[in-house]
Amino acid sequence: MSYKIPSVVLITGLMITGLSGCASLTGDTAPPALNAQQSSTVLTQADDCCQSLAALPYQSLGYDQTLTLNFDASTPAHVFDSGKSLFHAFSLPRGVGPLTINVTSPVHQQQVFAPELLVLDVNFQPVRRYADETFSYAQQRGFSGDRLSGELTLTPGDDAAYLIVMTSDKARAATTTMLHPAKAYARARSLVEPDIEDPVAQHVATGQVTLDVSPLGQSSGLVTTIMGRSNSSAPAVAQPTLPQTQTTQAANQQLAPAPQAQTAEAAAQDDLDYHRMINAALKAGDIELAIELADRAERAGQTGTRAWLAKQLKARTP
Amino acid sequence: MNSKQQRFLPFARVALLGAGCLASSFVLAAPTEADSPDLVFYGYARSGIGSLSGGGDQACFQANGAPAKYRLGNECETYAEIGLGATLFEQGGKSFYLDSMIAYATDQNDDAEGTSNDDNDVAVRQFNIQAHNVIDALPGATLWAGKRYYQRHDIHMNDFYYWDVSGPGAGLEDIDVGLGKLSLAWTRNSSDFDENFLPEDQNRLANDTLDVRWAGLPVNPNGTLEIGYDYGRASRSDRQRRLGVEEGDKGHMVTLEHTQGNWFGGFNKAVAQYATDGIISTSGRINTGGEAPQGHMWRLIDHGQVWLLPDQVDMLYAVIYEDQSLDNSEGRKWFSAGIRPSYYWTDIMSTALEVGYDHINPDSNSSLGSSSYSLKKFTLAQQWSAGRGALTRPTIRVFATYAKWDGDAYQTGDDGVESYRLNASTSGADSVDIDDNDGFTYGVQMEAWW
Repeated sequence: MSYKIPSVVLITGLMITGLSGCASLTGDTAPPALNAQQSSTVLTQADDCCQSLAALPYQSLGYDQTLTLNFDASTPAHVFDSGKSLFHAFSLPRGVGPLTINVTSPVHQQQVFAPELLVLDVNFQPVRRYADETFSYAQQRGFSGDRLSGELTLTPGDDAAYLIVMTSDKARAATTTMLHPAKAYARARSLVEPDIEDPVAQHVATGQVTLDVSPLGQSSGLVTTIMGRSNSSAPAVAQPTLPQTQTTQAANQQLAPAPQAQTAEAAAQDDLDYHRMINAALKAGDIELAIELADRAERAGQTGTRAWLAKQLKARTP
Repeated sequence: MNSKQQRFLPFARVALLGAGCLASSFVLAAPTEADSPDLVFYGYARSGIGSLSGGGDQACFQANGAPAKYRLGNECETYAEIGLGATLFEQGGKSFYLDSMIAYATDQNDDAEGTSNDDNDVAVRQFNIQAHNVIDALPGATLWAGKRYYQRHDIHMNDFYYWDVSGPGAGLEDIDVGLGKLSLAWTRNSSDFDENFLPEDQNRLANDTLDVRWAGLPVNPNGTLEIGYDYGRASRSDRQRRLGVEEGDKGHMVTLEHTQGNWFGGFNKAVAQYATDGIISTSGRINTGGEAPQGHMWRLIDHGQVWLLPDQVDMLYAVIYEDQSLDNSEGRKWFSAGIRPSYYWTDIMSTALEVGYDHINPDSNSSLGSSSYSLKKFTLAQQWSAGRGALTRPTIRVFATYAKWDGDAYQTGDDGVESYRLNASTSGADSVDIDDNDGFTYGVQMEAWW
């Protein structure tokens, strides 16, 4: 027969070796895997960086950014009330309205950093802790691996001025049971799930956490295409801060009166953002928040927002 | 419910209910439980492009007479299954889950491949309701009815389904009997017996399978046993009986399967199956009528996945021995063995090697010829996957496959090419020459399940 093995072998071989070469150059983006012992040694050997919560090294957090946080030997540690932990501390951006924060902590070699988020007020007093009830296991699916993930909504202000990403003694004592890949395969193909134990991920002191911060209501994909994405430079001016942390689930938040006074230029810039925030509140079923936001918009000089909201609500009622 | 689902649901509803609901779907901002059940979207897909090294379309190498082939870099078609399911009712621990699946298969030849070409297919594979916990006397059990992939058992590496009686059916599943779970099912696979004998709508024999499985019997640490019995028979209509349509022999099949977890980071399944007469086939489906086999079949399987080096090297493996011993000596013995070790360079990239071996030993009257023969197959693939592990998808792979077999690929029959050593339906007889005894292919393929 007449096929040309040598050239094809050569090409394929080159492709494979070439690609492998790339891999060793670019390497793995994940931090070098530490075993549970090494991981706990990192924590034990780390010195407490600071005397108090006020003394932690705070970085400023953007209102629309994705951050990958490594928790390793070079990360500062502090003995919190919930136990000693490596941490990253942020000061929250003021005056940009509610933020949606997506937190993802990938399972790596059957180990995972179980994240906890601690929110501090302007006096560095803890006001809210997001722990295992917020972050749950999500199985490998599509291009996302096994992970702990969760979403929360924060409204930066005096009552939510700082955010600490950390773990706790309690979180580290727990484990995460994952779905065995053979069972995921069986579910996708309607096969009998093999009667085998699922792998268990240890919660460890080191790892990697991704924070995806975006303004509440800013969405992606189809919705953005339809609604349009606002000018990303817009929200940096005004002060429509809600004085309290809240989640989208908590519909019955008490909202204090908003600060007065806002310039007309700023108001014009914020026009879209108010509408978007109100839309998001409506979508989350939080009509009270929507009304409060409309009030703020009116006070900020955007007359007609209440009427606009009324129209939205009317449209929702059959 | 997370925000992604909230975003998805209005669109899902639009897609499902049609454009008429479009306006209301967008206006009703927050979907309620009542009007939008959580949609489960799941499925499988593979597709790609490949060539035979001498030119022409990709060939896929399967030994003639073997019911399976080692699949890495050795799949020539586009195949997809789109599954949509939803829990339509849930209250007090009782629930009704609707499952559906449409499967698509095409030759992967060009852009628009429709059903006007016989080689392409759209098939209704699943439409069933699984009612959990609805029988008070059987807490935890599931009553189901409809077309269903029913408790299928497969070897992933060579796409071999050794226990699969799927079809239209009904049953009671997962009945708690104290020790393990019992499942009972009635499924059907009708057969054509003689298209010239009766009009098409009357020439089908309704083949019924009654399936009993007792699963989850703890026999050793991390090990469980499943015992299964299948009974198959043809159910003839009065007219078919009057016209003397042959019923064929009823068949029995017994399956024993041991599953070992905590097995070098993976699992192992050891299977023994014995079948008689009409139920002798690949999957345990009944196959009756005048063409029904008579005789018996033994099949022994061991397969699984192991981690040779934790998080760095894993391996799929399979060993199969099947002896179809038929009264007319048209049976054959099939031995098959394969391994697929993979090395994980990173969480994303891996290199996989697959070595497969199939050996066919035909009985004296077999159409497969008088001498035994084998097919060996080697594939090297560079893969990009969403994570480590042989059963992690999606994957895109660049592959090169070499196969070698004993004797000529095909023989010339009265009407052109007939199978000889290669299975003509998978290899594409237009690419592999009639007297070839080896072949080399290369290509790129994606595979996903979700």
